[in-house]
Amino acid sequence: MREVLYYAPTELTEATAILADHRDKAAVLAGGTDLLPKLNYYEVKPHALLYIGRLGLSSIHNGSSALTIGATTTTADLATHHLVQQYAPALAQAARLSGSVAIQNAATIGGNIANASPAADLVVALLALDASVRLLSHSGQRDVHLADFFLGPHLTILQPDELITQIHVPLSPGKTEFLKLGRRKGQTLAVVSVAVRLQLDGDLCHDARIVLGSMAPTPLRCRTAEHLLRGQKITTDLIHQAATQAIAESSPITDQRATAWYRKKAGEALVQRALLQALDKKEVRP
Amino acid sequence: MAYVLHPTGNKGGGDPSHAVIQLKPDGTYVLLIGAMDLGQGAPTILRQVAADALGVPIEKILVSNYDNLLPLSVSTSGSRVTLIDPHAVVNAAEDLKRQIREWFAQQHEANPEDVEIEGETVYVRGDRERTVMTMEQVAMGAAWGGGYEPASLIGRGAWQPGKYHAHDPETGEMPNVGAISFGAALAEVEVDTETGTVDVLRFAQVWEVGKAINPLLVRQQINGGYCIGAGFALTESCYPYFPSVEYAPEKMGDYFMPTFEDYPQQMIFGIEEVPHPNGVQGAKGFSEGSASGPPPAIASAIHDAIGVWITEFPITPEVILRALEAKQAGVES
Amino acid sequence: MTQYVGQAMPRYGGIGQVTGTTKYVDDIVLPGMLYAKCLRSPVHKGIVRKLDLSAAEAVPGVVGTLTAADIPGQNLYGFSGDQPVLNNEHLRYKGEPIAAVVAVDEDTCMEALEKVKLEIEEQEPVFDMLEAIKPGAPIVRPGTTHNLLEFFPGVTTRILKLGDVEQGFAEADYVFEDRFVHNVQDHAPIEPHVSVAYWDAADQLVIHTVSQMPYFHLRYLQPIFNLPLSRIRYVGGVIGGAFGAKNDIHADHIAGLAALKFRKPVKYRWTKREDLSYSTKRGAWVFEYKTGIKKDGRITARHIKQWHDTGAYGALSVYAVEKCGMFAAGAYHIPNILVESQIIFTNKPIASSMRGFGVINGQTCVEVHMNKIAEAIGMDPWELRFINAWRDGDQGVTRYTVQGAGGLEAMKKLAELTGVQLPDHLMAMSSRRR
Repeated sequence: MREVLYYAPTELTEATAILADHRDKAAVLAGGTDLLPKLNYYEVKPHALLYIGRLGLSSIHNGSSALTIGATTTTADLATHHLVQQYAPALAQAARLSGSVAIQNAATIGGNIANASPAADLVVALLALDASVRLLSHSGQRDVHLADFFLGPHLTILQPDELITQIHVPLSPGKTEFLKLGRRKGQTLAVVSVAVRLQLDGDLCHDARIVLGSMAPTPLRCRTAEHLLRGQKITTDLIHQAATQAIAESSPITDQRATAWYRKKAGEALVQRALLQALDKKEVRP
Repeated sequence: MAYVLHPTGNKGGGDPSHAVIQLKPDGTYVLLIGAMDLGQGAPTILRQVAADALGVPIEKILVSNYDNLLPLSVSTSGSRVTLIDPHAVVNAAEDLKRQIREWFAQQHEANPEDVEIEGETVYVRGDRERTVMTMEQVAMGAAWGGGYEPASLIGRGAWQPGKYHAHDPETGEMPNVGAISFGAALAEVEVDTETGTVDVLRFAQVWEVGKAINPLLVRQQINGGYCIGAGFALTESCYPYFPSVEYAPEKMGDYFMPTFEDYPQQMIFGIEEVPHPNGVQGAKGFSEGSASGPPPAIASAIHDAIGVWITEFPITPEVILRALEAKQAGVES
Repeated sequence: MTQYVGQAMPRYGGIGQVTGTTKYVDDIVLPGMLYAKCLRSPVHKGIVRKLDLSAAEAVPGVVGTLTAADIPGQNLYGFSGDQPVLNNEHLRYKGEPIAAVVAVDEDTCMEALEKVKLEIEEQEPVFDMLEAIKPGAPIVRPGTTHNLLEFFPGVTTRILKLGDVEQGFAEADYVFEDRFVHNVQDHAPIEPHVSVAYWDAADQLVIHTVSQMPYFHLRYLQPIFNLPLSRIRYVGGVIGGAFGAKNDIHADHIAGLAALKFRKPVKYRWTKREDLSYSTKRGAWVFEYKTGIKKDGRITARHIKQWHDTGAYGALSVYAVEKCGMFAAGAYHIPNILVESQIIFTNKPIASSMRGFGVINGQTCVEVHMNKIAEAIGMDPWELRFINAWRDGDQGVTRYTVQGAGGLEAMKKLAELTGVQLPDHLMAMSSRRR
């Protein structure tokens, strides 16, 4: 019979000490929506489970320059919280479109990041918002740009003794949009998802973010496509060019959900739509 | 649109169900029947049939369908239960009433033909005041004896839609079909020609079921059948890139059954009743058929939307995009 | 007199289901209950060269193992009678059960399964039924020379016919042909396959089952256990969805064998992944339709060919294919019909019954075919159907007579509900007369 130690500390120092003790033999449990299936199917066999739901990390605060979101904030809270809706509507939209209601009620933002799925809905939106994560260990903490966090499918720079505690979403101006294409409307993983942010200066595009989900080993910022838009007058033609370029930067695979061919074809349409729809969105002003 | 049929009962008949109805010593009834409930509601409708056949309040009847101590029912499959099992129940109810009449006649030195059962009241015709008993008194008297003769009041019934004849080896002849139900369906879809996504906006399905024993359950069957049919039409495949068997879905997240959010914005249901000569009060089964209307109706609506006939199922977004590309290439060449 | 029939009454027992008090088979936990898990074939096709369970049996908590040698009766079951309960010889599909481990819990079973020493000589599989009937294709069933199911010895095509299609085509003004391909669908009920078995005080083998057809399944189980029907108590009735999946035995035989061998209660349940990957399916189908029709819309002949992929074993495919064939020409008066059917073995999981049981496949084809024909001859698709729809007394391909027909009535109701205006001459039609 499997015996697994279970910890549910209430202090961060306690949590990081447990992680330091068990190193890679511990699994961090928050909402459990990614971890439990892996446990049930023996894909992971941890010696210890560290439950982080009692650490007081489920909160959303508005600072002077950024939203601070606790790592165990649920997807449901992200979808409905007024600060997220006001300052990071693309994140709220991504939250709304992820999983089922039951999953949204359990799944956490920290878990979505740590799981490092190429299809992670929240991560795609967070990348477009230039978010960073705070990592805490018994020996200290560091802040890392989310864009530097992922190494590959389910691979990150997170060390075995580190815990994601907070996510910082800078309050930056711009028009944003998040779109997701799944194989059905409800309870669906992204075949392709896209988040965009356009900072406009009159007719000109001051800055842009184009992020694709399910189109590369990690959620992907399409930097060359972004560059195409920067400093330019936004036209339909330019949007088409940017979408084509974004897809050129991607490297999707074929899986159960779709072929690489389909992902590129539908993805291009989705990027175009996201850019066009973003232009019609209300500008977020910090 | 699509116009479909579904046969009721296992192929070729010879497909019996049995039922037993026990009169309990307190005047309540237990209907013992082998029909399994998969969620479709066999015990619900059979209890309705039994209550009518016995003429008693439905609350008096408990249905037990739990194990093989119960009488045989061939299966809950082939949409057979609604056609066949009600006959077994009615026959069991008639058998029980016959036994009650015989017992009652014996106690009152009357002819069984003169015993009247009016729901839960039993008496000898023409001598009501002297002989009248409640069913509870009858049940108690027959069960406990005492001043009465004891009797096991247990009705039995069986029925099948004709004897089975195998297919003729040369012509395939098999003349026996229990009943056939008829459906008609209409779909309205929106096709996103850039992503290949199909959105079923409205779906209407009517079933002619002989007699709807329980219209609520008929409607639920049509609703559930839509899900299996729409999945077959649009999304569900165990081998998404056949003939490659790679990427076979292993998780429910990778096997795309429609969810409630995928249901059409408007579902229109219809029930039509043409009483069937083989059915109790004309009732026949249809439930599996409710999955047959959606695939052809949706495929035809897709053609109406994009001008391409697609004859390979499921019609995935990729199939649509490739069909549109082929059409484009055809137009250009 | 009618009081209850016809009323929209709530589900009997529905309160328990929506409030969570209904006890399903997997809710049964008995004192001392053991668990079983199957060792499944890791290959699509191959021959077992070595099966050594000793290391698995040595895992603490393992009570023992089951192999073909532990079966008191016959190691074959199923509607076609060709499925081994546990197969340690010629494996025909990935996921086929080879042996089982019985232990105090499922974790231990899984740990033990990892320790089994299994050597398989892998062979080339065939997955596409149309490839499987080509000369030189890998042979699915050892000891045979082809992959076609025999309806009778030497007969690999089932013929259903009415009239003379060639004559019907000669009478037609137009002939239309179509080809259809249907992929494999899974039932995916919420409740995966599960069974609990134990010996009771009366020395009866009690099995809690999710079977849709208990009496049929007893006919399969009885010869496996070699027990008289009086000594098997088969308790069912509470099922968490089936959709045809539970017309085949998936768990009762294993739980029963383990209870027989170890004389303890045993639960055997499939995971959702096992269910999706290895359980029976609605098999793949290929159809060719050919229809002859007059200018006025009357159908003179319909010729249908169907090829059905039954996967590794026959199961209920014969039934599904014949049933499909009986109704594949649609609910139409057609004087000349020919249906030719073949069933093909491949190295895929077993195809068997699923809601619609073959009929859905035929109906899907015929109705798309009819809409294409309507477009091609420039006739309204409703009119084409009203002209040809069955009336009372019409005959189907196997010479069954249509009674109580209601197709026209269903279509008229559909038109009424959806605001489709049908012309008077169609509204005047009735299923009672042609």
